[in-house]
Amino acid sequence: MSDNHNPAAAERVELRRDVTIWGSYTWGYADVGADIYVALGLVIGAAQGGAPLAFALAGLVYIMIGLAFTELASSYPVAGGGQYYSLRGLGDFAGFVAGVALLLDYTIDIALFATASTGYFNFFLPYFGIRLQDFAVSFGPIQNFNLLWVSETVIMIVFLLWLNVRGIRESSLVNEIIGLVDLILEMSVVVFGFILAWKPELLVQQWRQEFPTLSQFMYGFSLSIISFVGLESISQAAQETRRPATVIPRTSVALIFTVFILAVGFSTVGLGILPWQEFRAHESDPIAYLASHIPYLGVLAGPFAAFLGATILFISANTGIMGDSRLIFSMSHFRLVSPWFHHVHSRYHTPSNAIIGFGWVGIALTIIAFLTPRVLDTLANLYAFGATFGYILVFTSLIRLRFSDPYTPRPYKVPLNIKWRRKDGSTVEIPVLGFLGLLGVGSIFATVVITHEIGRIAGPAWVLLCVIYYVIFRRRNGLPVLGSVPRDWEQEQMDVLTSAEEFELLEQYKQALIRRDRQRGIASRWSEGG
Amino acid sequence: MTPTLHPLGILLAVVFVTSMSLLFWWMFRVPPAVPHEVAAIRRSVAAMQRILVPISRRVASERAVELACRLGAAQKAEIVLAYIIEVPFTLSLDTPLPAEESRGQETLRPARFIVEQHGLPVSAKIIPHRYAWSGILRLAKEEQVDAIVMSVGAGRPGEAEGLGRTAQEVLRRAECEVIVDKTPRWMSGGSG
Repeated sequence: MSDNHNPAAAERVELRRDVTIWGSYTWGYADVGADIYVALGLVIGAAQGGAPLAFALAGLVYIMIGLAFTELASSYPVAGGGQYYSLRGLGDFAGFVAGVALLLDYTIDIALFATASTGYFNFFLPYFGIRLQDFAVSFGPIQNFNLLWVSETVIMIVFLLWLNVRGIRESSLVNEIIGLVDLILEMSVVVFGFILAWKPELLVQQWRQEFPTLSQFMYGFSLSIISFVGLESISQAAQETRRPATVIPRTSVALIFTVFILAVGFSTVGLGILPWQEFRAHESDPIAYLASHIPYLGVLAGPFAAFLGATILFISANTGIMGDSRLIFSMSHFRLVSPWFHHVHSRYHTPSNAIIGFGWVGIALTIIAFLTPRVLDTLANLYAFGATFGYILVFTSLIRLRFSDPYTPRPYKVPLNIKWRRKDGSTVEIPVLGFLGLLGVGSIFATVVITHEIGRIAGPAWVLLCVIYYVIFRRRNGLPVLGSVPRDWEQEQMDVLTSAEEFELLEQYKQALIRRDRQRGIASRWSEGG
Repeated sequence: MTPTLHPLGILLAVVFVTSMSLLFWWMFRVPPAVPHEVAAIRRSVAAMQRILVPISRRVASERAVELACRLGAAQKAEIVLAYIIEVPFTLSLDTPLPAEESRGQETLRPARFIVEQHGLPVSAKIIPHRYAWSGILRLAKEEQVDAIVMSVGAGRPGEAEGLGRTAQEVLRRAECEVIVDKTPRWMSGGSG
């Protein structure tokens, strides 16, 4: 295949496959693990005695999202995640829209989590005789602009950018170590909570007497989806994961159930230890507050929670940089954005331009967040908008790809399928869960648009702004705006599976294509040497 | 703060830890990587979706059927059983030969039974042709089979040894994979 035809096939293999099983798991956990830390108080505050049910219901939708990503990431183990699946399934324009929706999320990830992480680190400042308030300045309409905090955050992001340019192995190692410590700490809160402080009668009493109204419950349910956003980070690292088609289904499924068990576990143990009103009063630090009410653990609750919060949010920001860069790298590869982002660092084999390019956007967003206190709310709103919008396109792609590309081997398949034999002899498995998931995510998206005032305006505005750029870029380069650039997907898939060393799947794919061509009565280009 | 121990809480903690441990144990048990050449061989065998087994009264074809079934079991391959009636040149190919056809049906019965025992899809065909080998090859092409599994020589006690002409021609001319099974005399003698 000439470079002209498949311009980045050669560069594609240059990204180094350095992400291990634990690394793949922690790329996802780093993103999702921080969410429960933020969402627990909010959800219990809204869904009250019905919080465990809200978490469980949102968890079911999330499981469907997770399974869809698992199937797609193991079948198409390349950078880009949701953007790539939408491109394959629905074409260039949909791929771009899904890409910018997810790009929004990852950029917010960087700004939001880096800011929150340094906020937790600041807990330790008084031990060094430093008062954070001393660094706050006000000028004009800007009040309490904290120079120290903003500097710490910018330094943290710059450090993460450097780390990510330096290599996926290095940035992954940070996630692997911190992720392990944080997972043990989070699990210990649940385990010690159940053993030492849990009172089932309190949980039952709250369930019976403090169950929310339907509208309160629905609001809590829409908030609880926040605690599950981020699993797709595993798929972003797919192109750098060793044996991705084998490893990703395992790490994704393990992560889905880890987060589900933790979310339901935290809400169950929380409402069996404290009344829901106390969580509402401590929305910003629910886990620290919960830990402070567990015997023996309570003594360490303050520093423990600060350490846990700071580190888990730190690796979340790291995941944001990785996700952002791989996404824009993939978009550049498929000529959806400038080819500048597709540069691979000659020494470190990382997409350095993509990392630095969007890292600065994250820094800019952080500074804006510090200028206006309400911007954090805006970021959270946009986060929910971007994620649910992107997920809708991913589910649609999952369904579409089952029809348009039944030949690609799927090491993992979303369960509950109806087999349908087509006239050309091929069999399509219609994913029932795909349709249910689409319905579930669609309803959450509708809830987000209805209830999140900023999100429904700023979210579409971001997408629209990006679409304007897309139209200009594609026109300037003589590429179709609404149509797609013709691509040799079969060769692309062969290259991907070869580079991933997934030879079993490569041969399976080859055989499927040969059989298809034989059924069509045409000579197969894959039969030579096959 | 005094600890509040509750048996249900302890049970839930145990369930929580156990389920997390099992989850991680499963996650880390990744099957070993398969080298490319091994994968190619494995997949080429797994790609056999339709296997043709010529059935003859002169050789122990049932063993070939059993082999074909085992070969196709994992991928639920379809087994195509074929009985070729060799029509002499003195007769037209469409001449009705009821006695031969009835013999063919009888010969196919145990073969079909074997396939059904394996739970695989089966189709049986009786084809008149001038030579058995050309009939087999024609059917292989028409049915787009992936492989032909056939028994040769020494199948029945007292039969002559060596590859017959049918096997030789099929081996020489077939466009698909051909697997020839030649059982040793001591084995076929026992089955006889």
